Parts: sequence; C-alpha cells; structure tokens
Amino acid sequence: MIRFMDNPVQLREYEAGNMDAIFVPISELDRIRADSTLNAELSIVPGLCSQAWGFNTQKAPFDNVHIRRAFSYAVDRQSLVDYVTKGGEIPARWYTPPSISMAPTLEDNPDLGIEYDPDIAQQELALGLEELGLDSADDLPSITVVFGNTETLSLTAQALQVMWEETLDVRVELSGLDTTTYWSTLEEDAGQIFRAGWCPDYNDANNYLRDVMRSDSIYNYGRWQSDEFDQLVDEARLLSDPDKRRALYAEAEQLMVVEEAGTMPLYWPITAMLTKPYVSRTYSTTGFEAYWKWDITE
Amino acid sequence: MQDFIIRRMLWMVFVLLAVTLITFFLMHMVPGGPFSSEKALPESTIEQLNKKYHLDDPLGVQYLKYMQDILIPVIMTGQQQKSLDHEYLITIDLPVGDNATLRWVNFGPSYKSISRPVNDIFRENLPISAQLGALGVLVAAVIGIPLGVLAGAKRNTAFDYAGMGIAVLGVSVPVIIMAPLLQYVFGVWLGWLPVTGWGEPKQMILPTFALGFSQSAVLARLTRASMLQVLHEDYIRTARSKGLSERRVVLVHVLKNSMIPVVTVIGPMLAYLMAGTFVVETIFVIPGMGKFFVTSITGRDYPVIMGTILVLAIFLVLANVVVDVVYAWIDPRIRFT
Repeated sequence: MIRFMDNPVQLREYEAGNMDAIFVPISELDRIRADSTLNAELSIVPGLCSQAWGFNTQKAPFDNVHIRRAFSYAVDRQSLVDYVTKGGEIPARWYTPPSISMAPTLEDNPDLGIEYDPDIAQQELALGLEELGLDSADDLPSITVVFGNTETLSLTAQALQVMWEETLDVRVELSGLDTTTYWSTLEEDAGQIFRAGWCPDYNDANNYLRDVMRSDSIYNYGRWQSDEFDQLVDEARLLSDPDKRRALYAEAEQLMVVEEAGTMPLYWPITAMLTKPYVSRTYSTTGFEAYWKWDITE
Repeated sequence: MQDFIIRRMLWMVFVLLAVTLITFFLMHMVPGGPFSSEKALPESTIEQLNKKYHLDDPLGVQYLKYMQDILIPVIMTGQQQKSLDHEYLITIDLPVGDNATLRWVNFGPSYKSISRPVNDIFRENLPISAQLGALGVLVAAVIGIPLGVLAGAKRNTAFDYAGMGIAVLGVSVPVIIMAPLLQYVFGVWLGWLPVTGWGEPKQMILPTFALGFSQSAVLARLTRASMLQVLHEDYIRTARSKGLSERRVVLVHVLKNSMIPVVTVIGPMLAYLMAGTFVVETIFVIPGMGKFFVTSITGRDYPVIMGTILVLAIFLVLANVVVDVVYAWIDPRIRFT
C-alpha cells in the first residue's frame, strides 16, 4: 500500500511500526545516524539532480569571466555539505551528477572540475578588477543574490554570503523571494546570482549540458554564451560511441564550470531511505521504484 | 428575530460579493502566475494554457465569468459534455426537453490538480475539515470553559494557578510542536493511538485534542477574566445575600452573564477551524481543506484561492449571525435592532 504524506510524518509512522519503507527528511539524518537500530536500516542513494547557482552574464560584474571564477572558487563546497545542508550530499565538481548516464564520474576523472581554492579565487578577483579598471573589491557594483525563500536555500545563501566575504572581502546582498514570484523573474530578469538547479528529464548528460546550458536554451537563465561549448555538446549529441561522448562531456564540463564559470554547481543531492529489515527491496537509480520486485521476508 | 436573520442573510450576500471582488483583483496583482515554474514553459505552451483557462481575457471579464458560473444556473440539452470543465455541484434532471438537465454552481477547475476541480475539493475535503474543526472547538470549549470557571470562582487558589498555568502552556506551545509531541508520545512510544489518518474514532482523538488544546487556553483565560468582572456586579451580591449557595450563584448567575465575550470568540474560532487547519491536517495526514489554502496561494491556483476564501467568508458570516442570535438568548436585554 502506498501512502502520501510529509517526510517528518513518515518517520513517525515508521517508528511506530506502521510503515515499512520511507523517505527520510534530511533534517533528521543526524538523529537517525546516532540511533543504532535506525542507522542499520538507513540507506543513502545518490540522486539525479544538481544544486547549482548561476551568474547572470548580462549583468555587471558577472559579464567578466574572472569575477565569476573568483566567486566560484571561493565556495567551500565540502563545508557547505558538512555544516549547512548536513544531508550527506556530494560536493559537486561539475554540473551533471555522475549518476546520470554519459556524465563524467569521480573515479574516472579525479582531477576534473572545480574545487575550493581561496588563493586562485583571490588571484582571479585581482585579474577581474584590473580588467574592469577598478581598484578594490569595494568598487564593485552592489551584488544581490536572488533565490526562492525555502529553508535550505536561505541557509545556503547565507553560507555563500559568509564565504565570499571571508575569501574575497565582498559583501553581497541576499534577496529571498516567494518561490513562485522568484520563478516568474528567472526568464526575463534573473538576479546577478540566482539559484539554478536542475533535475533530469531523461537519463543522459545531453539534458543537463545541451538542453539547459546551450547558448540558445530558454533554461539558460544566465545567458552564458560559448561557441566552443555549443560545438562540444552538439557533437556529443550526434555520436553513438559512449566513450567518445563521455570524453566530450567531460571537456564541456571543464570548459563551462572551471574555465568560464558559466554556472556554479554546489552539490549533488542524495535520497535517504529507511527500510525495515523484513522487506527485501530494490533501490532505483532513476527515481522510479520497481515496487513489483519487492517482497516481505521472514 | 426572523426579520433579523433575513436581513443578516442579505448583508451576507453583499459581504460575499465584496470579498470575491477584492480577493479576485488582489490575487491577480501578485507577481507570478499559475504557470510559473523553475523550469520555464515555452511561450507557446503558456499561450495555449492561458487561452484554455481564459486567463488572457481582461480581468473584469474573467471576474464576471467566474461569478456567472457560480450564480447563474444553466440548462443543458441534448448530448452533454461530461468533461471536468462542465462539472457542477447541483445537477437536476428535468422532465421536459431533450435530455435536459439544470446545472448550477461551478467553482472552476484547479490549475495544479487537473483532474480535481474545486467542486471536488468542496465535496470531499470540506466535510472532513468541518468535522475536525467542529470537534476541535467542542474539545476547546469542554476543556477551556470549565477550567476558566474554576479559576475565576476560586481566584488565587491552587485551582486558579494550575488552571492558568495550563492555559499559558496551551497558548505558548504552538500546535506545530504540540501535535508531533502527542504523535510521538501516544502513537510511537506508548502505541495507544494511531499516528495518522482520519475516519475511525480512534484516529480522531489526537488531532482534535491537539487542535482543541491550543484553542482551549484562549477560552479559559477569557472565561476567567469575564467571570471575575461579573463576580463584582451588584446583582451577584444580591444573589449571595439572598442565601443562595455559592455553587448556584456561580453556575447559574455568573456563568451565563460572563459568556458574551466567550461566545464572541467561539464564533469566528469555529469558522476558521472548520475551514481547515493546515498544520494539524498535514501532521496527522487528514485529507482536509487546510492545505489548499496554503498551496493555492504559493501555486497561484486562482479558482482554488477564490473557492477557499469564499468558503471561509461564508463560514465567518454565518458564525457571526449565529453568535448574534445567541447573544439575545444569553442577555435578554439585547434586542434585535
């Protein structure tokens, strides 16, 4: 029997013994890990989505690539995941999550992608300021980070604000809007920094890289343009050799995330589940559970 | 009194019209629409959707169409559409004409739940919310009023302090904390009561208690304050000097006269709770109307917003009429002018 209810309520029903398999709210993970019985029943599965924040390349100062790279390098993604979201998410080095088909994986590409590096961040900031003809970070135009006002996003935005202030000495403003209002601003007038995650429509890196981030995509709210990137993803779309496609997508990710900082991926969310020991089940990698394969064992 | 009630009903129609007008224009003024989403829809899709739901008509026209669907009955003949767009609350088969039916009251579709028009929400979810709300207020009155009477009659004694202590607890601990706490204690640890659901009497106990306890605190404090005020009146002193027992003085003379503020509060309380409480319904997974109040606004689901606000307005106005009638029963000096 399948019942629909809020995550915290699912947990209570599970503990009362009325439900056999549930999704766990991230905020309860600490408590569950501390409890020996529940911890044994916990399973964490990588998700298919990507949490990223974007730069509006049409608004100063993010039309300058060095400023974008500075901001992206200044984010300590591991700390974000350890102390802010605390869900066991995976810090993202590039945009497409590795669980998506044809996306680069961490095992095959240990050096690919972006990582926290305050030195590079400060160097890039200096380069950016020089190109813009400004003397110091105080001369940058005021920067506003826009997002829909949910608890996770609000905490993430505050964490980013602190990180940028510490590493770059730039204080950004935060603008948390009602979620639907926020969505209505994205297409026409995305903020200088805005939240732009993605979940897949189908299981292929083409969805993440070409459908969303190509120059002419309506979902490319930051309007980041790169002919080289377009060429890479166009070519990868038409090939059928998986190795060649993976290589092209890895190159595209490096270009987009590291060299040009067209978007700033933060982490790849996970799904946490609790299952009673007497249930034998399958774990879906696509989000659609194969319930017909489950069984109750003694 | 019949005159009074009829006049108030006419006022209700006027009030409801004003409510629909203001709500309608306010909700269209908020940025964002029903089709705003994180993953933007293509222009052509949005155009099609707007055309389907008549959202590209001028606002005045949209409002008039909405009111027409609710107020004006329609006679349909011949082969009739059974689609959800033509779904009415009242359908009467007419004996004359070619397969004629009289249809009335269509509150519109829901933009987010396509197979569930607002009429369905009223048919399925409203009765459950109304049940929960009514029971909640009953529990609140049963706990709160006696507590307040006791505290007021035995002022500055242990009863008073205990009663008001419980009342302060009820007012300070919000339902969103009380409800999960009750769930854990009675549902998970002790296992005496089911954790979620609605339908069986066992399932009704925790939600109504969670709801009622928070509201009972308000009633207890109000009853106590009102009683203290009445206790100082001259006619109470007269009653005592006539030799009546303290119990009779309190329960017969003081209580009835101190009920006016309490009844004033219970009326709207009943209306608000019957229209649906979001928190309790989410925590106890009760299929009521509360969540539609919240989700319709964040999702800009215009017909659902209008429908839920209308329901709340109707309940409020009815509650106020009933409260006014009860006033006259409590205090015969009040005339229906």
